[in-house]
Amino acid sequence: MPYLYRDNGARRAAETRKRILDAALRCFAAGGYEGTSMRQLAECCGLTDAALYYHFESKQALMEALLRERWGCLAAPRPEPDTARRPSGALAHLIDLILDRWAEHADYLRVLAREAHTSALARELYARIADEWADSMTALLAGRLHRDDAARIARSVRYAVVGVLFTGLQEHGAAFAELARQPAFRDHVHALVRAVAPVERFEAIPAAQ
Amino acid sequence: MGSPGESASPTTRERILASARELFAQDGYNRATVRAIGRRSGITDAAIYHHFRGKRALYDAVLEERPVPPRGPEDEGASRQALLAMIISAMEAWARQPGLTALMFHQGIAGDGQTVEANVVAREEIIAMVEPCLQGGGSALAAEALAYVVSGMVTDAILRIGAAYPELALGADGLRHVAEAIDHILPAQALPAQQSAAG
Repeated sequence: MPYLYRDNGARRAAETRKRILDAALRCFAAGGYEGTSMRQLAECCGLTDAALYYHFESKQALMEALLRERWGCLAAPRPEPDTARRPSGALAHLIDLILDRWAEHADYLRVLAREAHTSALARELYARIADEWADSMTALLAGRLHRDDAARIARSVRYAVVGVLFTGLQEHGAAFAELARQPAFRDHVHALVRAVAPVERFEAIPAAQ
Repeated sequence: MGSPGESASPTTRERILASARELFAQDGYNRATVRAIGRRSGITDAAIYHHFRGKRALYDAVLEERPVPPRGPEDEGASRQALLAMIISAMEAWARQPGLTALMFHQGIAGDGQTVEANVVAREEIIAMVEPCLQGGGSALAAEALAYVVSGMVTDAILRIGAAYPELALGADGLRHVAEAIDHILPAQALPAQQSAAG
């Protein structure tokens, strides 16, 4: 049954590819692009150099694939529009979902921020992620506030959130993922968001009952 | 006291530092080499090592010369306009060396201890500058939130367009976004007329 064999081979290749990308994410986050060699990566995955090069022709190609294929994990969550929730509660819920993403994908964020210094691709992907977060916040608030107010509040929140995120990644490095799970840290982020997003002051559209 | 001729032309040390700053900003700390800094400044490696012990010492000297924003107001409770002007002047101070500001962000993310410390100081300077303007309960939190907005704006722009970031952060939209954030953070009674128009 030649087809079955071929399918198994393709599946194994896809699994190996995923294993390489997982290891590359950890190594690049910890050591940076320059500080990580293809040999180290091969060792991390338990592969020979030749096997690694079979999947990715160069370190550059591996980094590109990593950035392109994994950015979707940070795309903004789109919470169900919940009309029963007040805008401030809905915003807090969205912030919680974003904090979950930080905890889960801190390595990707570190790699992206490091690479953005010299990689146009990393800059483009950052812009997409940041715009998605802002659009998601605007959409969430748009039903309850005037559109301009929703957009301006979303902007302030987005900047504050980007500031907290990248300050945290600098100061805590690999420990940031753990920090993003801690209730005290999350409470503090919520307090900061409330300070920059006084949605109650802007509530102008009567809530639907 | 040097002669007029001396003060007009940069010293060897200054020329090395200027090239180091440019090359670090362009290639990042890891990719930059002392040799390339020498080529750029037209100074021999030996002469560079006479002034600096190595790449790390060059980087530390570059970091040492980072722009420092002006201090906050002496009197408490300055106006919204004064708050906005202070934040913009701090952002303008960093923007005088945009390559260095971007470099400090990326080196901070890479976990370089001294850079992280310098970035923490920069944030604390902003908090100390704006806090006297935000009177009343919760002013510490409000000052911290405003500092994160400012750092987030600069970071966002650096991540989008690198060393050209002042085009975004200090462009017309950027300045409007700072003003918006101040309006959001200041207590309701300090808001300008637009608040009553919205209500």
